Amino acid sequence: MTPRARARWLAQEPLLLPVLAVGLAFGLCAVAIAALGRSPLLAAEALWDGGLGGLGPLGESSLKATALAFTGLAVAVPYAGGLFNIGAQGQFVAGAIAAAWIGAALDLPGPLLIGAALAAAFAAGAALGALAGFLKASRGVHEVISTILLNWIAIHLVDSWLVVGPLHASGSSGFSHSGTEAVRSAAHLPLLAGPDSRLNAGILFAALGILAAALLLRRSRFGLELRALGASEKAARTVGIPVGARTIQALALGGGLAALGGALLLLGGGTDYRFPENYRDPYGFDGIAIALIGAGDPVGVALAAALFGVLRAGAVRLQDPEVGLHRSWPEIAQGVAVVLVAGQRLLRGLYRLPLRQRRTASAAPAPAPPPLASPPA
Amino acid sequence: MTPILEARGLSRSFGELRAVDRVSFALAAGEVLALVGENGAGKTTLLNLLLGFYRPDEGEIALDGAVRRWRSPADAEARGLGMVHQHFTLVEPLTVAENVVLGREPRRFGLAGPFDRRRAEREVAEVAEREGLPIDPRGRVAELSVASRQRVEILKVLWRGARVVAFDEPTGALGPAESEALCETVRRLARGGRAVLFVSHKLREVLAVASRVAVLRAGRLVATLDAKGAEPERIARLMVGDASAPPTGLPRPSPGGAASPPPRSRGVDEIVLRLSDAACRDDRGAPALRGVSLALHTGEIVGVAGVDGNGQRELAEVLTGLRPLDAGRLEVEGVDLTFARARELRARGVAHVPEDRLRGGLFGALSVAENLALGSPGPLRRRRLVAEAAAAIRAYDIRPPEPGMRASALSGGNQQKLLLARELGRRPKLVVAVHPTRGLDLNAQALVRARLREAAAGGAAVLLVSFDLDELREIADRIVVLCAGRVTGEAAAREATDGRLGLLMSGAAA
Repeated sequence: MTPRARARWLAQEPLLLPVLAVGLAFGLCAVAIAALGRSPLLAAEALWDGGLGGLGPLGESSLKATALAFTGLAVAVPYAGGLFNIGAQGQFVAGAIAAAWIGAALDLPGPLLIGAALAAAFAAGAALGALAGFLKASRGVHEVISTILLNWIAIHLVDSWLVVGPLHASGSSGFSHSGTEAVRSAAHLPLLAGPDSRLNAGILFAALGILAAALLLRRSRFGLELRALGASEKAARTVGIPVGARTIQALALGGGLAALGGALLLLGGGTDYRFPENYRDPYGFDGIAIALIGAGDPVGVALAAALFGVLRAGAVRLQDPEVGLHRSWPEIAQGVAVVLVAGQRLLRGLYRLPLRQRRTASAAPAPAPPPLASPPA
Repeated sequence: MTPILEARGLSRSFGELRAVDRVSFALAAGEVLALVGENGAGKTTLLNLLLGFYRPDEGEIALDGAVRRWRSPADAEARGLGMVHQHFTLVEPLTVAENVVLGREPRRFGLAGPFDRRRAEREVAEVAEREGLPIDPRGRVAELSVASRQRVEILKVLWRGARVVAFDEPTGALGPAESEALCETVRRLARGGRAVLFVSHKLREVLAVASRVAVLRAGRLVATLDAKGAEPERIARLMVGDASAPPTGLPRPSPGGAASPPPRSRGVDEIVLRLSDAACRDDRGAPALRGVSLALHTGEIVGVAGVDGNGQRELAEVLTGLRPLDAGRLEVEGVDLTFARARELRARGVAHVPEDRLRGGLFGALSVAENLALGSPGPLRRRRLVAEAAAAIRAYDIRPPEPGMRASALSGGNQQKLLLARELGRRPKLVVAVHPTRGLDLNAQALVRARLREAAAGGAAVLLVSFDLDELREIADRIVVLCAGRVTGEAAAREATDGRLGLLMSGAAA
């Protein structure tokens, strides 16, 4: 292979594996469905109809895809810098509650109110992310640990305090809601396809978010420095990249993106324009899967979020009597795909792809192979 | 007396490199044999061969006169060979006794029973008492000092019944008093009838502890001397090589200096770098620099020589803002930059060619163009970036000439060219280069040296850290020698003979 062809191959390779993984995951699920005595073809048809068959299903798909795109970015952007943001769930919830609060509390004209709610959401998520970044930069606390723990802090502060306490819908209208007050109608994201479909401007925000993240990572100095940090922290220090600052910024940005996902789901009517009691949809955790399947690339995240958004929406139809399946099958397929992407070696073996070559360049003075037993030096 | 352990023509290659080349020696009971040599001379590889971590390509190992082939390190251990590793292999949350017996725990009711902690503690206490290595068997390793941890490592080897004990750089992490105590332990082991292999850089310590000294150079055993009466400078000379055989194969400056570049004329003898009384610690917190003062002038190349681990790395890191100073002052062109970080020093014209080019200098996963762009600040302009990358690729002859190629896919020589292009391409005032030619083929080496010379000719001050004394003599104007974190001496390049440098490197002349 000429170097040019090789470089091209390496450039396109990142998305090749996830595509193969998703394909294989679908195949395995089809086999499992057939083994249960149900029809994989009927299931596929139901998913298609439920996800893409008309404006109504498209609205449902786009709501879910929007949330997944942002939580996927929330993981993918810090990951470019070698940072694992496992905190997207908490950040997502924080963003949703912030949007619910601002959307109900402020009396502003539509675009301003939406802007204010999104800004507040971003700030809430970014604060959570920045806290994890600060702990890492200043005290060396690993971001996986801190973001996981911050998830539960955020979720329980929202669930057990804000939603039932200060932000609980007051009984002024005579009957009591569970959850927060609904946001003003000025805060509702504009519908794009009439009142019969929940297709709304959120999907445009998602497209913008993907574009912005792609430009940031690929074309900006911040993105280059972040990728440099991900490639080698030591070399990043050598060229004078402020590693601590970039760590905090990357995790804050990730937190803000996850929070936007939560805010857009809420303002798009995904939860009836209010933050419900005991909210448990795991969009934030799904973001990890979306980022993995999307190979950590914004465009890959967009594709993965669109695919699994459609499947989630379509899954409602899996429960139709003639199909007779539980609606969690897309999540099972997603899980299988993640395992396959993570277990690259297995996947490469199955498709007879070359294992990624480690070119230990002739640079090393003693290219010592691993010793037979425990490394002596 | 029959030797306990014998090496007969042991060889081991890694790729092209013959790390150990037909080494033979014999080791008798009651003897301490020191293995000395420069970095990469093959000391650690030789130990790994003897102890079953590697298998030899050629040659054999004899124990008590019988030829043995180790199937594994455990096999060697069962026959009475033990190693005290340079980096400890202890489990911190466990106790001393638990660490010592780990893997061979005594059990109650024979093999299947539960761990017999009491017996383990009793046995470890007995061995410690007998060998004069007092320690509390019930203490947690996490709470022990470095010296005590090493004691646990030694006990581990002795409890397993080692008759041959190998020490790999055992004093690297110890202070002077602790080193002295360790040397006493080693001598006592030998007096007690064990055979000891002792690997170290530190010649003074080697002479204090060993009965014989074996000198390795480039994988070969070049000499074995009696420690009694051996002079450090002689050993140092043997380590770095006979002056009549240039190991680089490059044209050496003739004695008159005709082949060396003509002395550069300096219009103004401007001081670029002034480092005064610099002190800092290494990654483990031990003092690494203890009062180093240096001044570098425009157009000057200053070589830094020394045995590895004597402060060279820390010196380079201090000068490039990667390691804070505990004391002292750093000035570049008269500006106090003592507290400046890497970013500011780079902005002031300090370039860094670090030791570990792929991990410490370059970004393997990023493209050639991106690696170049990371060298200087400012917003990214895609078109300018590509143009600059193309220019650098031409100027430094980076092959293949693909700005989009990943740095990790380049060969070692081309990686180094890329690093030089990034660091030297922005006309630095001060260049700090650490082992810039290590591991490169001769052409690439020549190119790197030529580029450093050009940088100096263009007015930069260059600090070159290298183990290759011929290289230092070839391109440096003067050579300073570091030993134990101090400058032990300085010589004009043409007066710096191996003997003189060896003496300074061993600290014997300090």
